[in-house]
Amino acid sequence: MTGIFPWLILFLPLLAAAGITLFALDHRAVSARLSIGAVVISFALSVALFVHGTRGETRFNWISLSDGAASWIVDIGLRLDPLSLMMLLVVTGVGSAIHIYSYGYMHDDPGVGRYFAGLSLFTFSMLGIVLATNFLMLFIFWELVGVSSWLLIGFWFERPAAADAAKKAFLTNRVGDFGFLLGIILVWAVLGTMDFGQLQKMMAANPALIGNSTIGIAGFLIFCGAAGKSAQFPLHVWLPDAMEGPTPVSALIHAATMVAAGVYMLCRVHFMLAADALEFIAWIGGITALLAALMAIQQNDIKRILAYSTLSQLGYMVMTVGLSGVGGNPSAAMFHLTTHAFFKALLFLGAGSVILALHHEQDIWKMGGLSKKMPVTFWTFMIATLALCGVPPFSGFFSKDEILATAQRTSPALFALGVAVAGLTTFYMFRLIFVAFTGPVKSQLPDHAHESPAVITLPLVALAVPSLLAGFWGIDRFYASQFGTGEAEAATGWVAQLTAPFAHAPGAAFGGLAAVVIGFLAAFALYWNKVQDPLPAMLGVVARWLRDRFYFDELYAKLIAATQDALATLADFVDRWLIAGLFVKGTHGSVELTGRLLRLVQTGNLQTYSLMFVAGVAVLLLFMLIR
Amino acid sequence: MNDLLVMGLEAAVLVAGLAVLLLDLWTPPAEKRNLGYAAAIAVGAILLASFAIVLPRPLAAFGGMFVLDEFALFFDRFFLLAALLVLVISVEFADRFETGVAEFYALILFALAGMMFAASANDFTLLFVSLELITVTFYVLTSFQRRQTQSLEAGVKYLILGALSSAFLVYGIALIYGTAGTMSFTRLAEAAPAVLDSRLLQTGLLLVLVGLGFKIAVVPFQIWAPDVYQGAPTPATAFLAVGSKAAGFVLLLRVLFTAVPALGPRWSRLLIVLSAVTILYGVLCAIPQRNLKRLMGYSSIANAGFLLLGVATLSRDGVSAVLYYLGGYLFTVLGAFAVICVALRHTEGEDIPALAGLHQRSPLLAATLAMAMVSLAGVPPLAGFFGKFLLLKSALMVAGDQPALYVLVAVAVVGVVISLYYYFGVIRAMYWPAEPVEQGHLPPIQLSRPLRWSLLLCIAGMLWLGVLPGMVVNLANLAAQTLLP
Amino acid sequence: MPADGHPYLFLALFAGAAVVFCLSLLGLARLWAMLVSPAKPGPTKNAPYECSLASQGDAWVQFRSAYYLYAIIFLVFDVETVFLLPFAVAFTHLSVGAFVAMMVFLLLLVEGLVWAWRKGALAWH
Repeated sequence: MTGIFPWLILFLPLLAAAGITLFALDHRAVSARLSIGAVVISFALSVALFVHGTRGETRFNWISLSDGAASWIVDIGLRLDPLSLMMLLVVTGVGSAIHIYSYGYMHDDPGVGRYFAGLSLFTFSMLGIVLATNFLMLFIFWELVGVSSWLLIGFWFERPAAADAAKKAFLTNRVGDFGFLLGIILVWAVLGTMDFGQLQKMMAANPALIGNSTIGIAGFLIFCGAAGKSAQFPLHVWLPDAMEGPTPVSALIHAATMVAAGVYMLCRVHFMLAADALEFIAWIGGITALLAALMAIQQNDIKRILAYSTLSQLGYMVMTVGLSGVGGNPSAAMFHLTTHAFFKALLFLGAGSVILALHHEQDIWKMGGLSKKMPVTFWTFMIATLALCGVPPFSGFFSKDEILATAQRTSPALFALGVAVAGLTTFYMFRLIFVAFTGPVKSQLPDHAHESPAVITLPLVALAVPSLLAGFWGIDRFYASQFGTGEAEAATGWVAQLTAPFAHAPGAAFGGLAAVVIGFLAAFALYWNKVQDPLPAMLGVVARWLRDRFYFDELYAKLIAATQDALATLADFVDRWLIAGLFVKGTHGSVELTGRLLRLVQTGNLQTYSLMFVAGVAVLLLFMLIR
Repeated sequence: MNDLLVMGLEAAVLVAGLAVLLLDLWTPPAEKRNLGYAAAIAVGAILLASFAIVLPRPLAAFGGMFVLDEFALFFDRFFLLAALLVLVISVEFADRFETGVAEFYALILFALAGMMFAASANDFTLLFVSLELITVTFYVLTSFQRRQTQSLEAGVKYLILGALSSAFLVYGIALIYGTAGTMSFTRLAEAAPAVLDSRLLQTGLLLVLVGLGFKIAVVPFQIWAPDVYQGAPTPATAFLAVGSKAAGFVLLLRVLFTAVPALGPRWSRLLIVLSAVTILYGVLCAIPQRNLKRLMGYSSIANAGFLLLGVATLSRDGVSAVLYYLGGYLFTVLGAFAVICVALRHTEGEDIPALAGLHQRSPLLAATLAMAMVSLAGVPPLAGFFGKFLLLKSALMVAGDQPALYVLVAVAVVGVVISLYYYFGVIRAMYWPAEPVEQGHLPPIQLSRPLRWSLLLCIAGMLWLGVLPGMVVNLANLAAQTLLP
Repeated sequence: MPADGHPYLFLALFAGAAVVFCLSLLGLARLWAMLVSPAKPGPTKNAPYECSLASQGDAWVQFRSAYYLYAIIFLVFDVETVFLLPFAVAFTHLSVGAFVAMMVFLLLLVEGLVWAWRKGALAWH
C-alpha cells in the first residue's frame, strides 16, 4: 500500500506543474491551488511514510540492455532511508509553508501561474534528488533543480538584474556540475555501477578501495558539484545575487532546500569520500563560513544579509561533513541542515513580510521601529534569529553545538574558526534586528507599514514552532541511525535534553554561548538606537572590503573577461575560417549541391520513372548474378 | 472453421470494413464523416482484443499458408494502431472529399486487412494476394481527391509503377515455384541446398525483393515516393508511410528469415549497399525541399534505409531493433501527418515557411510537429533516438563478421547529422520564422477532441518509447525470437 | 509420345499443333476464295462489315463512362455463376462448413450488389 506513496510524493508536484503549464497558466487561484495541493498532499504522504517507518528501495528497470558479456542496466528507483525520509519531511514541510505564503506574497503579480508552475517543478526536482538511488538519476534531477532555480530567480525577467542573476547562478552551477559529471563518469568507469546501494556494499566489502587514488579524485570532483549547488567558496558568488528572485523563492530554494542539496549529496556519498577529500572539504566549508559571516556584517540589504548568513551556515554544514572523517558520522551536518531549513526559511519569509509592508524597500537603514507595527512578523523573526545564533533552548543551539563539538574533537583550528563565526553570526543578526525592527524610524516608509495578512503570518507561525522546538525531537539520533555509529543514549526529559550538550562537550557548548554573548554585546553597543552605521568610520577600508564582498565578483569578472577575450579571439578564428569556412560552408555546400543534383532525377515524368525502375532491376540482377 | 478462428483478427477487420460500407447506405450525408469514428472504435476494439490472444505456440491455418505467431501478432497490433490513428486523421480530412467519405474509411480498413494478412503470410501466394490487396486499395486512396490534378497524378504514378513492380514480383514468384516446386516458405526452407544455388531461384528471389522494395521505397525503387506522398490525400499518405512500408518490411523479414535463411549471408552485401544508398539518397534529396509532404516523402525513404540497416545485420538483435524502430516511427510519423493534415488547410500552400507562427495558433500542433521532427532526427529522449541507437548497436555488434557494416554505420551517422538540418528547419519555421508573424494576425486553430487525444497519444508514444523502452523492447525481442530462434 | 521425355515437350507439340491448325484453316479459306470467287473490289465491298448498315465516322468514339459501372456490376453475377455451378453440382456431397463458406461468399456478392444499387449505380441518367 505504501509502496506507491514515494512515487506519488515525487510525481504529484510534476503533475501540478504540467497541469498549470497546460491549462491554468492564466488562472491565479487554480494554479495556486494545484501547486499548494500537490505539495501539501506530498507532505501528508511523507508524514505517513515517516510514521509507518518505511525503509528500503522501490525501483524498476529503466533501461536494460544486456548482450551476454556487457550489460548496461540503469534503474529508476526511490530510496527510503533515515536520510531521505527526514529530508522528504523538510522539503515538503517547509515547502508547504512557503507555497501557502507565496499565494499571499505573489497575489498581485500577473505571472502567478508561471510562478507556481516553476515552484512545483522545483519541488519535483528536489524530491527527485532526495529519493534518487543512483548517480545518474541524482544528476538528472540535479540539473532539473538548476533549471527550475534559473526559472525562478529570473522570474521577474524584465528586470535586468534578475535576468543577470539567473544566468550567473546557472553558469556558476554549471562549473561545479561539470566536475560533478566527470566524477560520476569516473566512479562508473572504475567501479562499474552508479547505484548507491551497490557502491556502499562494494566499499564495505573492500575498504582498501577508499584509498584508491582514482576514487579519491572522483570524490574531489563530486565535491565540485556540491560546492556549486551549496555555494561554497570559490563558487559562492551566485547565491547573494540570486536574491533578485521573489522572496519566497529565496526562502525555499536559496535557504532551505536547494542549497542544502550539496550537503545532502555529500552525506549520501559520504562512504566513498577519502580522507584527503574530507579534509579539503572541511577547510573549504570553514573558509566559506568565515568569509560569508564577515561579508554579512557590512551588508545593508535585508535579503542579502540573510543570503550571506545562509552561505556561512552552509559552510558550517560542509565543514562538518569534512570533519566527520572516513567512515564517520556526518549526521551533525544533516541536523544543522534541518534546523537551518526551518529558521532560515522563517527569516526569509519574515523579511518578505517586511518587504511587502514597505512596498519593496529592502534597505535596513530605511526601516526601524517595525516591532510595534508588525508584532507577529517581529516575534517570529526574533525566534528564528535566536535559533540561528544558537541560543538555548532554540533548535539552532543543539545543531550548532554538535557541529562545534565535532570540530573540537578533530581540529582545534576549525573549532576556533567555528566559534568566531558563531560570534559574527550573532553580531550581524542583531545588527539587523536593532536597525530594522527597533530604534528610531529612519524613513517615512515604516509609518504606513502594517502587519501582513493571515496567509502570510500563518506560515511564519507554523515555521516558528520547529525553529523553537526541533532540538528536542531527536532529529540527530534519527539521522545517526543512517550511518550506523552508536551514539550516546538519548537524554530523557526537557531539562536533561537541554543540559546534555553542556555535559557532553562542555568546551563546545560554553565556547558557543560565549561567542553569542560577545556578539550580542558588540551589536548592542554599536547599533542600539543608531540611525547610521558607525562601523565604516571605525574600520575604514576594511569595512569597504567587507561591503564589497572582498571583490570576488570583480575578480571573477576580470578573470573571466580576460580568459574569455583570449578564448573568444581563438574561437572566432577557428569558427570563421575552419568551422564556418571549411567544414560548414564546404560540407553544407557540397551536400546541398548533391541534393540539388539528385533532385534532377525526380523529373515527375512517369516514363522516366518506369525506365529508372527497370534499370534498377537490371542493376540489381547484374550486381547479384554476374560476378 | 478452425482456420477462420486463427485469422479472427483479419476477419473482424474485414467485417468492420463491410459494415462501414453498408452503414453508409443508411446514414444521412451530414453524419457520414462520423462513420470514421465508428470505424476507429471498431479498430480500437480489435486492437484491445488482440491483447487477449495468448500464443503458447504458433498457430497455422490453410495448410500452413497463414501463420499466427508472436511476430505476426506484433505487426497486427502495429497495423491496428496505425489504422486507428489514420482513421482519426481521415475524419479531419473528410470534408475535403466531395463524395465517398465512407468508402475512404472502408478502403483504409481493407488495406489494414491486407497488411494484417501480410503479417501472417507464410506462402508466396498469400504474400502476393495480401500485397495486392494493399496496393490496389492504395491506388484508390491516393487518387481519392479526383478533382485535383495532383491527387490524380499521384494515383496514376502509383498505379503504373505499382503494376510494374507487381509484374516483377509475380514473375519472381513464378521462377521460385518453377525451380523449387513450392510456394510455401516453410517448405522452401527445407529444400535441398542445391536448389538455392540455382541462378533461376536467386533471380526469382531478387525479383520478389524488387516488389517488396517498391513498397518499402528503397533505392532504386524509391522514385515514386515523393510524388505520391505529395499528391495523395494526407491520411492516405500517412497510411502509406507507416502501414504500407511496414507491410513491405514484415514480408521482407519473413522471406529472408523463414523462407531462405541460408541465402542471408549471400545477400548481406547487397542489403548493406541498398541501405547505405537509400539513407544517403533520402537525406540528400530532402535538403533543398520546401514542400512539407514531399519532405516527409524523402524522410520516409531515408527511414527505409535505416530500417534496412537493421535487416542487413541478419541478427535477432537487428530484427528486434527494426521492430522497435517501426514502433517509434508509427507515433512519430502519424503525429507529424496529423499536424500536417490540420495545419496545412489553415495555411497558404504546403511549403514549410507557411508554418510560421503555428505555435501561436495552436501550441499543441506546433509541439507535436516539433517533437516529431526531433524524434525523426534521432535526438534523445524521444523514440527516434532509442530506435536508431538500437539499430546502430545491433549493427556494431555483428560488424566483426561483416566489416562492411562499419561503413554502413558511418554512413548512417552521417545521414543522421545531415537530416538534423532539414528536420530542424521545420521547427525553426514554426517557432522562429524568417519573417516574424504579427501577434494575433493569424486566427487560432480549433482542434476536435478525438484529434487532440490522438496528438497527445502520439506525444505520449514518442516519450514512452524514448524514455521507458523496456516494455516495447521486450515485445520486439519476443517477436524477433519467433523469426530467429 | 514418349513418357520419359521432357515434360514441356508435350506443351511444345501442343502449341505447334494449335498454330498449324489455325493457319491451315486460314490457308484453306484463302485457297477457296482464290479458286471460286472472282475478285471485284468496290468501295462498298471494301467497307468494314457492320450488320449491313453503312459505317459512319471513326471507330474511336467516346462511350459513356457509365457503361463501366454495368461492366463492374456484371462481374458480380459473372463470378457468382462461375462458382455457383460447380457448387450446385457437388451440393449433395458437401459438408456444412462448405455450405456456410459458400453462403458467406454469396452474401459478400449480395452486399456488393446492394451497395451498388443503393448508390444508384443501376439507374441510367
